[in-house]
Amino acid sequence: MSEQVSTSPEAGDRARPRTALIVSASVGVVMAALLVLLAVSPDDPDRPTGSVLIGKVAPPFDAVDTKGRKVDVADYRGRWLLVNFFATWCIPCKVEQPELIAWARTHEVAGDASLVSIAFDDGPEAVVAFFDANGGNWPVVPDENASIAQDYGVVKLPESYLISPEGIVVKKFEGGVTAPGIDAVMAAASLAGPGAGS
Amino acid sequence: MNVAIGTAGIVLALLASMFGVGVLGYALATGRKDLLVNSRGFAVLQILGAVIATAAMQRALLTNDTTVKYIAEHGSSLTPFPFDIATMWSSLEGSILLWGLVLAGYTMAVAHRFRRRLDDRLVGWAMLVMFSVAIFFFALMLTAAKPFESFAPLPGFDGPGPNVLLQNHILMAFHPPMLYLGYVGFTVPFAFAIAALVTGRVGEGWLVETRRWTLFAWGFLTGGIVLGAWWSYEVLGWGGYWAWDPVEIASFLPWLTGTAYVHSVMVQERRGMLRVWNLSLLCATFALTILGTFLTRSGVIDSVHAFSNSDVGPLLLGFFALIVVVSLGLIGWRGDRLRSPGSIDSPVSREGAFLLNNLLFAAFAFVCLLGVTFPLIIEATKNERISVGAPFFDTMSGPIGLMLLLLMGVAPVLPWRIAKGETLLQRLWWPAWTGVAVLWISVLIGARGWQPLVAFGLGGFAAASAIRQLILATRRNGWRGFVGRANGGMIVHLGTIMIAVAFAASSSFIHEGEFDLAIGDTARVGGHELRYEGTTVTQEPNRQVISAQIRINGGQVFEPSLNQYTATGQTVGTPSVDVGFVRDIYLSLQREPSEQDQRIQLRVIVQPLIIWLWIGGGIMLVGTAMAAFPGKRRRPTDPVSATAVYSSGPAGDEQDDTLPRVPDGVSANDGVSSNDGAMVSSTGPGERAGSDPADDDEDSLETTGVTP
Amino acid sequence: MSATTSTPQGSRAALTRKNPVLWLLMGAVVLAGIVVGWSATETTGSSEDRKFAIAEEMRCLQCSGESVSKSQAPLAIQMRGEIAQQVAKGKTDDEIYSFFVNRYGERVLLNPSGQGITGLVWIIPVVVIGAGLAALGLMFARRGRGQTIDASAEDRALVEHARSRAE
Repeated sequence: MSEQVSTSPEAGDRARPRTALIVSASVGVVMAALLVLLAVSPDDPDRPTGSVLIGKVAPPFDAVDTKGRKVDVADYRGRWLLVNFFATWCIPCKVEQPELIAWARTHEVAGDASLVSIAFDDGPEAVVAFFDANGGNWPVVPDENASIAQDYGVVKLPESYLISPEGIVVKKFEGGVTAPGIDAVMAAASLAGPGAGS
Repeated sequence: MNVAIGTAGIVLALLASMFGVGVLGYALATGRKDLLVNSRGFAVLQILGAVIATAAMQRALLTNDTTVKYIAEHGSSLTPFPFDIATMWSSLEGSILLWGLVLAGYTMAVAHRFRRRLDDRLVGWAMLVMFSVAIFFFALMLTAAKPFESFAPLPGFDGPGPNVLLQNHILMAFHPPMLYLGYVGFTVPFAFAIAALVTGRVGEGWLVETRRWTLFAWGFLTGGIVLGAWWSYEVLGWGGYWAWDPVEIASFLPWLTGTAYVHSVMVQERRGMLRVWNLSLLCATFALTILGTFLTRSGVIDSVHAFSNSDVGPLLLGFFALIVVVSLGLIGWRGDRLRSPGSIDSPVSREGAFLLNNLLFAAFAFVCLLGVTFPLIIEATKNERISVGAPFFDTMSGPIGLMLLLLMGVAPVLPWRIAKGETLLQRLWWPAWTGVAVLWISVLIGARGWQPLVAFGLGGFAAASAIRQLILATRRNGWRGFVGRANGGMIVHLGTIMIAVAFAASSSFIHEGEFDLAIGDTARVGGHELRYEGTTVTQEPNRQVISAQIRINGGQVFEPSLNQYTATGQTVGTPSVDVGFVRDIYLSLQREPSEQDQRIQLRVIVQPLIIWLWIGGGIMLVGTAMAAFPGKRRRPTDPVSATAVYSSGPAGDEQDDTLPRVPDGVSANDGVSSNDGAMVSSTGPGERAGSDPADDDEDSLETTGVTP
Repeated sequence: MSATTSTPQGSRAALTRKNPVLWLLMGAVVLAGIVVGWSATETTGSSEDRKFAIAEEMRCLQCSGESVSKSQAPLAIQMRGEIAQQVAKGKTDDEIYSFFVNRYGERVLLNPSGQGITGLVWIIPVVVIGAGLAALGLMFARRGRGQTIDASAEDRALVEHARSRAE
């Protein structure tokens, strides 16, 4: 004998499939958003970080170089200045040194740009030894307590900051530089006009 | 040669899993139960392949066979035993091989354990899911993460060895394998969950059956995380053990959902409720292990832990997406069968407590996931880079942790169904006063700050509640009062409370200092005196060790050191710790001593109660083992006083065949969904509504002021 | 046993655990303990602890995700030196954080600020947890109301049917 046993659903039962649908739909949406986010996020932890100084006045450093001369950003108004942060124990810094030498020589002749190197966390003797070994005859500032580096927001080494003739930071180079690379940025910035940042 | 053997092993395992999926799929589709039995054979072939591949890798590591690219990149003849064995999991490709080995091992264990029921469709589907997961990982080993590639070394070539941080301490040999035993272990209950959803047999049988598997996986994951924290403390030199690093969080997320699951599943066993929660938590736990693996290996997140960038990322993300889609789809499809017949009568009940527990753990997991992915969200939308670090996670986890401590104290005394206020007050009397006492003792010994003080008070409260349960259980059952799910669980709670209290203490009452010391100078930190007495230099085969002798409080000498590894030139520090039951004094050298006058830069960190973190972790593992030990009732739904019908065989013996057969006369699960619930929610003889057989002795052991 | 009798149980009831007064007393004792043990985190002074507390909130950008307080990297060591100098000069916590943000960007703060879209990371968890607790409360409230529904005619018929089968 077949019997039809029916139970009358309470009001709560009718509500439950709807809440289950709402909950699984919202979870699904959140999961989909997470997947999209993870798929488009850049996966290179060493990607360039940029700088907050770009477009702003370059911080002064009011320091003394290894030859005892006073050096500051203001001294270089009217011409381009590349401030190069390095360290004597940093291998990529040694690798970029020839590029810096070449660039410095070209612009020394033209008279339109100069180079200053700041040694992060190094003492004067180590810095002099580094330059004796690797060449270079531009002003070098030993920055033993890294206060200049901190003013510029230096994170990795080497880093270089290109400052326009008006004293505005135009570009931050992360990692080793090449002479043509610096020239290209200078050319583009000159075209864009004074005060422009990239 | 090793490359050939290793690749052959992987191919064998992959083919075994592919054929397993094929044959099982065909068998399940056509109803050919005789074919389902073959899953055991495929499991054997799979583990054979995995073992062959692992043996080839270990042989290559131990003989420093640089014709294998992995050895050329990560091995070295100078690496001492046992770090050469551990090199296998020190880098990406080898770690995937370890994952494959553990997965094959678990598959074999499942096939063996269920050997008499391989023709059951549910078991068949579970094996199919496990083989599918195996296909992914073994295929990964032949494509994006190849452990066996050839290399042509120049004569005299020697590899750089594993990352120097990974050769510093023996814990490195244990931390990853234990973590993997945990991560991969969750594949088993996940497979059974999927099988239950697909076959529609969402009753309690599969749950009870996989309980021990889940518990083992959870235990290993807990152990792996604690070992990781301990290793971080002993090796990395920063004096901490938990940095809310994205990779640490990646391992923490499945732990959170897994913990919620092992609690919430008890409600399903007893009353057939919270099924959707349980299935969701289980699927989420497994999905989060894959997400964690993705985060660690994809380069999307910046972390000291991260493996080197590789092509594995998109594949892991795709696998994660697949798991999410399958889980959500199946739970949505079977939603109607998952409706529970009963409902929670009152929020003040054990079911209510477990539901709140689920919510807190799920919220905790959500907040951690949000914090980890938020920098990615900001970068994707505003193209700015921000950091979400330890301060955020500490602020968020504090209140949640305190609420969980409170719940840990209250929930064990809550009866099922409904609790009267009086019952609660009566049972919580001594635990509450214990908490107050702990609070005041802490204040009197000088602890300050409301958050740690409340944490200590709640810790005392929860600990007293757990001890109370243990005392009652041993009074009733003797030594058996320490084993079985409820009692083992109380021991795990005690371990957790120790960790929570130690965490609160060591974060809040830390004293540290950096000192520039010449020989003979004394540094003073947190009431301790440290005198720098000299340095020694030792030459070991793979590194040069410069150590400084520091005498603490005029007593023992400790030697923090700096190790410079010859293979790579990298220098890594090894801290030295004066371990005590009350406080640890942690010493690390920040730089090499200066050449001329041997001046050192010494970092000193004094933290209280650190050792209780490791002791608490050990107790959690002991408790887990005891919880897995068979209790007096073989099935938690068996009535306590009943005899013959349910209990057969010597008490405590586990038969293989404990998946309950559907009794005659009761309609099968494939029809109406509510019958399972009806079976479990009725009260058997000996039970009273509102009391739990596990604690029904309470009303008899405690007088309520009535003399008989 | 009711408290209205004059048996010894009546007077003992005042001292049993169920007495709410004793529990209120316990609450007062707890509150007193917390008040006595109150302490605010120090935001002035030049102690080493303050230096490390500030450094703990900043990220060492030279390493992968370590704090300035814990990191051994050269940049972190120098930053700690700078923080110590600023603390000695009497700067407030906010001034020190601004100093570094102006040079390194928002990235350097491990505690995301509460402004703008970044503030969402603080708001979303509170909203989600609040919503969860509210849903829980709502569920229990609805269940409570539902229990006052009377048996319908269908239910009565069902019961009759079952009873007739049992006989």
